[in-house]
Amino acid sequence: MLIIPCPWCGERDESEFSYGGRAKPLPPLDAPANDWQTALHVHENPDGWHEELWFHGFGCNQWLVARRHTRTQEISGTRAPGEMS
Amino acid sequence: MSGEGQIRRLAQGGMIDRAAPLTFRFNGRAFEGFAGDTLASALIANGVDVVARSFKLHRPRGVMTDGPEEPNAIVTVGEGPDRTPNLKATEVPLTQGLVATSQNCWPSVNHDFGAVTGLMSPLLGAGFYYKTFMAPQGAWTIYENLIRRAAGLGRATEGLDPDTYEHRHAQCDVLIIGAGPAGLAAAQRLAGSGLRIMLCDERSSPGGALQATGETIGGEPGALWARTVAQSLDSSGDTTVLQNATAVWLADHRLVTIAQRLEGDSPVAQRLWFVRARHIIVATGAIERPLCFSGNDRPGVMLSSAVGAYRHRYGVAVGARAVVHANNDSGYNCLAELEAAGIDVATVVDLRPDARIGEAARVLADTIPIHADSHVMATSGRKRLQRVEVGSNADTVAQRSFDADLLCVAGGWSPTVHLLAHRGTPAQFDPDAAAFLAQPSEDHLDLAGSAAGHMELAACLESGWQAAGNALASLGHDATYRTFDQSVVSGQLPPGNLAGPWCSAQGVRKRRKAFVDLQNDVTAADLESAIAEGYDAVEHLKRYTTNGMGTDQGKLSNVLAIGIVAEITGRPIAEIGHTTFRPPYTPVTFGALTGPHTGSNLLVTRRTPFHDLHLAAGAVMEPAGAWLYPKCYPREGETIDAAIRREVLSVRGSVGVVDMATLGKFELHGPDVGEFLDRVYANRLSTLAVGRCRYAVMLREDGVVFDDGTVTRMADDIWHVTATTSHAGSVYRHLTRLLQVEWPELEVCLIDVSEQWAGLAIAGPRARDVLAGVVSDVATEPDALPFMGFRKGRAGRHDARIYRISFSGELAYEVFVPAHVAADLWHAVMEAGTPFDICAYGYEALDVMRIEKSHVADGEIDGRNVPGDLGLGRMAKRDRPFLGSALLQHYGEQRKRQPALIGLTALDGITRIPGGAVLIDRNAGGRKPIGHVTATIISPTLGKPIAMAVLDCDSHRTSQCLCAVSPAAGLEVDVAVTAMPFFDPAGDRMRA
Repeated sequence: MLIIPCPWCGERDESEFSYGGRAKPLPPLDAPANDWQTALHVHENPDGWHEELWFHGFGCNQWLVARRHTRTQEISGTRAPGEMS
Repeated sequence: MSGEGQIRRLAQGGMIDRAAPLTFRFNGRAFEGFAGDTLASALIANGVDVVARSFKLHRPRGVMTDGPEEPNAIVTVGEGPDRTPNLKATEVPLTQGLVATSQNCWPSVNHDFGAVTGLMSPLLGAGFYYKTFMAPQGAWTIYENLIRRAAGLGRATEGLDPDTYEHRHAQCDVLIIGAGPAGLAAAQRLAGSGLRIMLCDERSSPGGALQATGETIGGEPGALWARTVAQSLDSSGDTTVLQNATAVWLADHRLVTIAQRLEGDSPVAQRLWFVRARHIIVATGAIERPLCFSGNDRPGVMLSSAVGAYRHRYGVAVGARAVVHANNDSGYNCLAELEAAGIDVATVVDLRPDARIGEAARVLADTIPIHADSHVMATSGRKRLQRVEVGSNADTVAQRSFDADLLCVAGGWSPTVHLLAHRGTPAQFDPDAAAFLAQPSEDHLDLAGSAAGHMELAACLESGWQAAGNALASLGHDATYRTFDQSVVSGQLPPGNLAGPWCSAQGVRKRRKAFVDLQNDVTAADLESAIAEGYDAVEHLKRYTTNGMGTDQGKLSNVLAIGIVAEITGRPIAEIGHTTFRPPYTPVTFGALTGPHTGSNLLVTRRTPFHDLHLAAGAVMEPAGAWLYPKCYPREGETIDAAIRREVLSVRGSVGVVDMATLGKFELHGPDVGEFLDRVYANRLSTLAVGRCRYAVMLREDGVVFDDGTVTRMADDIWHVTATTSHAGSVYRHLTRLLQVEWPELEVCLIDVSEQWAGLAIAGPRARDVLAGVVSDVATEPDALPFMGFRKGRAGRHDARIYRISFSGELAYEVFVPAHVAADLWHAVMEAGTPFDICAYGYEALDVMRIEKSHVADGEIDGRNVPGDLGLGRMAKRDRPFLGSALLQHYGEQRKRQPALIGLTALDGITRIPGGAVLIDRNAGGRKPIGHVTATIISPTLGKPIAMAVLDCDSHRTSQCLCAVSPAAGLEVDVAVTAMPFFDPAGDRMRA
């Protein structure tokens, strides 16, 4: 069970959040089907750092981006999705 | 007073309370023990040798250890619903009146019928179940019944568990796992630091190994030192000491699950702790390994360390005449304990050649003859060990034999690295230590004491002390280097010069019973044959032989098995590695895992604001997801089916009212809402006029229908959308994500008002008459409030939102008021409806009417269908993209399945079409399913059976010989495709 530092609420238990997958913008709505296909179904599944979305549904109802190491589960930081690289 | 029957109880010593005798029953016989005993120590004290039968071969077994590693003494404790099976007698504290029984035996532990399977044991080797029960196909279910009865561990209880279980969450700065010397040294240094400390220990009192030896610290006996340290911790305010508390899982971000057994008058039987610590010191100790030789399972064979444990903890002598069998110097430690307990020692059999036996070990042996370079070749004795046959390692037949009722085995030590291994980093085999050692791979995690491989008391204390220093430093406290400065007198030898072989029955492996896993009856021969059959990877070997798969999870057998595999295959142990350590470290009861989450506390139950009114109106309530929702409102003497039928007919004939409070309701404010909704929904919404509603369909990113609902434009930049009850949460998450993450440039504010507004739908030809009596300040005439129109008004003194939306197909209005005044609305509707004989209707009538009108619901929106499949294809915008549009086309063309929603009616016009049925075409394709029924009723309005169904392929629509088949119900009903909607296809009634 992770501890996730919500940028708005501080450190909270994972049970307050739901997972939202990889933090990568969706393609534009008018992008070709192939782009959407790739965005939805081709995942990197890295052994290492992973930028991912979490929704603080039992907290502030905000989405956030966490940088998590998939092997050690370390979370090196979180930020608002608006600051997404 | 010493109980008469306690023939092995020493006259003095032990941590038991001799002033508190306890009586207990084991297998129906009454015995006496003392407070402070475990069931195992009390049984040994009473001279009970055979305490259980082994799992597979039903061989008699005795107590072998004094801890959680016990493979043999598995018992059922308690009677009736309070019965707990599969407990280790070494972990069961003796209490007054305790009732325990052996497992795996019938009719009794001393005369076991199943023991004849022992004669068949050559047939019960590795992979026995796999090989024997493969054929004929399908017969496994018969075999399984027989096997489960013959084998099987204890029986689970029937009926409700009367005990209470608790979950508790806690936080601390430093959690120390294990109150042995290392853990206590760490605790001693941390005490007074101002840090919040938790110390948990699996035993009922602190001390760990110190309780089992005569070692002293600071001039005090070790056990006394332990108690003094723990008491000083307990009295300081920021420390929590948990006894009878086993840390079973070390999870991510330093969350430790601890299973605690509560004793005495506690109203709670067990408590599961979830402790989040900033720093963790793992000081879980080490477990002695047995040796593998022929006949090593006979009652009377014990770990050498258990001799001291039983003497010091319980004042029990575990035998009368002993042979000691060792492959390392620490095996000689028990000699002093044996002497002190008055047990004669016949000989020490040491696997090692003379030159490797340590000088200190020889001093301990004193005048006791040592047989070096030798091993135990066989043992004999029916219910307890009587003789031990010994030969040199070069011999093939025994040269000497000794009378003995106790055989102390010492095969080295395995550090308890389980918790660290839960973190995913395998432990590495260290040939010098002859053990798997773990390294903490994370910050704020320390390993101390014998768990870290330190096998001498002084080193254990020092490592605990230094681990505490690490904790202080890492948490920003003063950690000036200091060493543990109390004097230590140990006299215990570390396992120096440990030598193999791991299995001393080499060469005779095939013939003799040399057990590796005593609980699962896995022998060295089983390992050898499994390897010969190709199962040489440890994980395969484990599953094929079941080695290490018992309730002890291989605490004694795993490393032993790996060593034997190394000998058989000639590969180094480090290369073979160990099987995965999985939590929990020791078995945890389902009661503790479940905690308070049972019965009505199992899940959240949501009640609508109308709940009490439904009950008062006679509703039968049924769970719908998390909600409790009225199924129907049967009247006196009315069946459920009759009630549903009456409710439908009254709505169609006059007027009815139904609870709409469970809908997901969201308000959207801002100038960009129209644009946002056009992106999110498949159909166009930006053109919606103020005061109008529109049905809308939302797709997933991949084009599959996600949810449907209505969108209402309440004001120029204030919109209201609904989501289905079951998707209320996921739609909200979806919309917030799009606004916060994907399209932050849109000026839209989303507010979940699902719980702020409660509403009722008034439906039926007389709905307008009822509405007029309920609302004010609003025109309700058809011109002023047309179909799919919206107006604000008042209901009594309250704000009301009135949507002219129909799910039933009748003239209908959904009236919403602030949730806290829901009851006022209900009463107003009922009063206004009285002249029209208004009836409350439930979920079933709602469902019947939506099927009659062919509205799609959860059965059709099943996560596989695109809008076209459900007849909603024409709603999708063609001139602009929306979420899901890119793949809608793509999938639409590429799918093998081209589903189509159809209406069905039974050919005979009377038989109900079975729910959940698959459709087949009797003419073509034989019995191959070509679709499935999604909703089925006998329509009260039409007086005939109808159903909605999804065909896998639109082309089957023309089939003339469709049949709905329900193997579950054993029904086959011939059906014909019919037009939808089934009722009022033109929709005149709802537009009235």
